[in-house]
Amino acid sequence: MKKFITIIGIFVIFLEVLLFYKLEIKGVRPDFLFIVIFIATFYYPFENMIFPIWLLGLLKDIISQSGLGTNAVLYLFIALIISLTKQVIFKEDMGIQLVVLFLGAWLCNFCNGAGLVLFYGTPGWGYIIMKSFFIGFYTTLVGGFFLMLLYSFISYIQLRSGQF
Amino acid sequence: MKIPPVLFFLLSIILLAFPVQWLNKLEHAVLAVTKPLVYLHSKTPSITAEAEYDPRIIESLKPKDKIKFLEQRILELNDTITLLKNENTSLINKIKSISDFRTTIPSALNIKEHYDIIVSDVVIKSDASVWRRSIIINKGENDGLKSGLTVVWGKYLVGKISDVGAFTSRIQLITDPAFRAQVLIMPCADTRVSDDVSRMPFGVLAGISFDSAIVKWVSREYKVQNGWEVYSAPDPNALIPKGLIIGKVNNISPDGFFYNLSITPAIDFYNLNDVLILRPKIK
Repeated sequence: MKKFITIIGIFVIFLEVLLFYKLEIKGVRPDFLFIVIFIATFYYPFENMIFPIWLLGLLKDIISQSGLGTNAVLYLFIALIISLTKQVIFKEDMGIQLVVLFLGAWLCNFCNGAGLVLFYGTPGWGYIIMKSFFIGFYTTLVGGFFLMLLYSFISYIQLRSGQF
Repeated sequence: MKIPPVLFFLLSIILLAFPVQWLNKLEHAVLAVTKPLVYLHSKTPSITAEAEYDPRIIESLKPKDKIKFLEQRILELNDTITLLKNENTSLINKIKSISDFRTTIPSALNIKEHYDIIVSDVVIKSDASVWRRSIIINKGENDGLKSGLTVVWGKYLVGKISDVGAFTSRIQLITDPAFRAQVLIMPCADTRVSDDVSRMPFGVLAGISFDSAIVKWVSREYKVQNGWEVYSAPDPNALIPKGLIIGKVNNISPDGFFYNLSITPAIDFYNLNDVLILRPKIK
């Protein structure tokens, strides 16, 4: 599973730079890699996912202009929070999953933007709060779509194997 | 063996604290994987069909096969025409870009004397991070590029080279939050930037990670208005020639003794297919 998540993540990173920028609306586009990491953390033990998540975050840092280690530490931190809280919250409820996805994407992007404001002074705190909010919202919309696809696929497999 | 997550956190934080120059080599090694894209990007028409074609073949064919052969041949030639048209358009755009650049720069500055112009194709048009703005081109250290060189498209300023790999380079666009350049703001759209710019308002351009930028530190003693044009200012340290078009003022907000201007860039960076890199000549 580690290898599968790593390969999917690398594929998503390359699609992000080659294709997904066309989904951008007013400078906001969904964080596809975060969706992959969210699903991986939600459905598999965090201990098994530590290295793939760290590696994918680091790869994103290398491909982008972000400081090396920024996304690696952020993704790992948010994955840790999700893994700690997923035992407490009712994880089968899709509404809660979407709320967690939104909060995670918002927090991750806010921290990324905050780093820029602290280092370069632009684009300003108000702007990064708004932008990370919309990135979180857009990511939740796209992530929700993928979660529904995933559930439909799982139901189909269960139906075919006669579990219903 | 399970690895404690703290180890990865520590490793990431250590990486963050490392000087950027030390880590650039690693980034360039990974950027080398974009090399196949460089080859895929080149649109050189195939001439194999021309080379394999022998007019004597057609004579030896039956009438039915002759028609099939000719239909196939027409399809091949159509493909070749399409490829040649694409290449022609690309070359026309490159020539127009160079020609525009030469006509824009003030006559006092002899381009041939000061800069080598390197034409390059854009391989990747976007940054993986939504907070940064950069593109990747198909020229690198092997072509004589280095960090800090100015990148233009025609008479427009695109950005500067931030990282250089062996075969590819990253261009930091003017809309990136880390980009800074001295600019001057002028009311008239059609006049070329004269040599005397001392009475024009100056400011500092900074990107805001969106398709716009801001100009800070513009003195309020000038009455700047919406629609004024923003040009690159003469700056010997930044290697940027003066008079390159950056964009138009679309919003003005006072900030103490200064204005903060919001700028709409003059070009759409996602539609850039090629750029010009200005390499200063060593005297």
